[in-house]
Amino acid sequence: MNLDALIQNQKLIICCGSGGVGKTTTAAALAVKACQMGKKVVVLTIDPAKRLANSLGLKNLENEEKEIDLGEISKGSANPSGKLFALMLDTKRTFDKIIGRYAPDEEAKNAILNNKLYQHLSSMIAGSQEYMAMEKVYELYQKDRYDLLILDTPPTQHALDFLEAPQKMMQAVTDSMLKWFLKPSLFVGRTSLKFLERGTRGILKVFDRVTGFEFLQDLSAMLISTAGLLEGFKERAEEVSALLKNPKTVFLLITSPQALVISEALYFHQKILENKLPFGGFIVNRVHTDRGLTKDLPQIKKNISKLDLSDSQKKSLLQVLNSCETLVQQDEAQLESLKRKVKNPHQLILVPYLDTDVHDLGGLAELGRYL
Amino acid sequence: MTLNEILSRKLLIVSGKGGVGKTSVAAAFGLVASGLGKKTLIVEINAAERISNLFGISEIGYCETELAKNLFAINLDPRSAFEEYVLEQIYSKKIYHLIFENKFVRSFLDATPGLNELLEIGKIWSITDREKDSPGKQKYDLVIMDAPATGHGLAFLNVPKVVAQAIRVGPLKTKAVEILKLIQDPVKTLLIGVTLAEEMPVNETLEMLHTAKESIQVGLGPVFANAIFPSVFSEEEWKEVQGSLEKLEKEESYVSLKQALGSYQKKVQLQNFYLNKLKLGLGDQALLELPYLFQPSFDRNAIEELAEKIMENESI
Repeated sequence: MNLDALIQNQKLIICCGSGGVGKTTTAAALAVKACQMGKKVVVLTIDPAKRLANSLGLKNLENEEKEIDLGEISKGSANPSGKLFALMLDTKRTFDKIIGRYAPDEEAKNAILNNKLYQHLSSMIAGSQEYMAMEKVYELYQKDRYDLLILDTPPTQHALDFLEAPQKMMQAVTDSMLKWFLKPSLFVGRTSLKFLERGTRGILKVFDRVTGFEFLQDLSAMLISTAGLLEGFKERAEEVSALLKNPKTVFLLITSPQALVISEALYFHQKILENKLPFGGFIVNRVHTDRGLTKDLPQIKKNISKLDLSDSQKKSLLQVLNSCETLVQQDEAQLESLKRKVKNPHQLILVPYLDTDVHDLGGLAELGRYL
Repeated sequence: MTLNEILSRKLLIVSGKGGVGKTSVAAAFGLVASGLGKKTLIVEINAAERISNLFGISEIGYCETELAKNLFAINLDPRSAFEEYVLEQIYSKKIYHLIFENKFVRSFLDATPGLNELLEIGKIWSITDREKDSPGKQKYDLVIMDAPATGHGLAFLNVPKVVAQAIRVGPLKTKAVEILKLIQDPVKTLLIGVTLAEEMPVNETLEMLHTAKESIQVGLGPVFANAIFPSVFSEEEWKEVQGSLEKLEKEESYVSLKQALGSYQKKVQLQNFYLNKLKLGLGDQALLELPYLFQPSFDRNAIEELAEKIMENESI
């Protein structure tokens, strides 16, 4: 995998992986690198924790893209014309915007925006983030203001939701049976008697028992008011789905050399292949590489024993060195198992463990050298 | 807070950024509690199950499985939780399959945001609420929830509140209110944060604890700083040792020696910096360190080692 080529040729890079592997940092480092290559790039995170702002050394990020000043770093750029933007998804605002776009008229729009269930569901609840992220990515893609979009996704389990979000949405809104099923509830608001006489009475009765009649009322009110939007949603979901499969899109799997994390990455890899999505490769972060320690250790131990240090200091030195060796061995064993399963070694990029924490632009540029 | 006080709760929610070792800490706590004679259940909510892997057994899924004496685990999936919930209301598997396994209803349910989270946390609530043992369903002294990574973990805990506010009456409302009561009762529930001594995990942990306290109003327990490298040398000692090592400068192996020691010491310095930052941010809240385990593989022995470390702290 050649990341320079990906940055050069792709329009959308999606960084996926388990939590804690450095996805956000990698996404941000790729963005800085792309910027240094002269690209106009925007990096977007859908993670509700404020990671991206954090790794860009900023306090806050907003729902609209904001330009990041590379300052000193741009001096080292191959092409100083690059620009870097970042944004963090605000689920509720994105949702409201979609409603505004697809609602047939002002009245319908307000009916939805003022619906109690909608207000609660659209903001805080997990799950709608994935839908909205796809929407935002698509919106940015459509605007065509950027050479490259880089997307940072939430941890694996939710990243799967993210992959499946367009299909799920499509299924829910296209099934004509679903519309049939929802139709009787049209009467809920008006006369509940009529509704009870409908053929779907049994189903709704069960739903009522399970969820509560009031809930059902609110839900159907929300669904009725969103019904007019269905066609728009459906169309959009299809477009988003197509964007994910576009040859100008590429999925990168970010991982680190730990057994559990690697097995999750492989699971996700499988999902990407099953969904026929364009896969770029694995980026393995924070690898403790063997820089000669294993080979030199016997000699080093001998040398230390000759030094003018207390026994406890010598013991401590050996403890530290053994720990360092263990770190290297732990990572090597994990990488071996990953390589065996991936088969194609070109799909792996290793990023060494860095002595310093990456949490500002300088750190990101430094990290970018390994990508 | 003493260890006993913590373990006297009904529900411990273990939460933190991804990759900080939540599952390991949850499992270690499980071993500690069960070792003290408490019947304990670890609840995992994960598509890629971890807990069975740690204990070296085959996948457990939606089934309360015994891991050790007094220690059980289950991996929740929303679909099974939904089936169970509906069956409790309508008592008929036939009707359930007819209606809810229907492709159209299924896709509708899949697309309803928040439903899965409510079902999962509802299941946890119903487990902690059990009055007595029944076949395959124990009455537990303690339930330990291995929560999803922070951002989503908090959204997850927020679902009952949102549902309780959004719905006026009905079984769903009643249930959401009951769940909320459990989460917000500090005598029954505590949130345990897990973090690494690194920039982003520390920031996120502090942010999470703030939201948990202010917006979800859950009681806060201790915070664990996980995978801490032992500070082998003090700053002074390190200088002394470095001076002495210079005598080996001409040796061929000097480069790798210096590189390894230097990177270890740098890691420790950085770690201490973030531990301090964490301590400052936590104020009165207790902070506990768990060591990084320099072992070839992370398995049940490692979990037992962590459990022992937790046991060493009588007062947390």
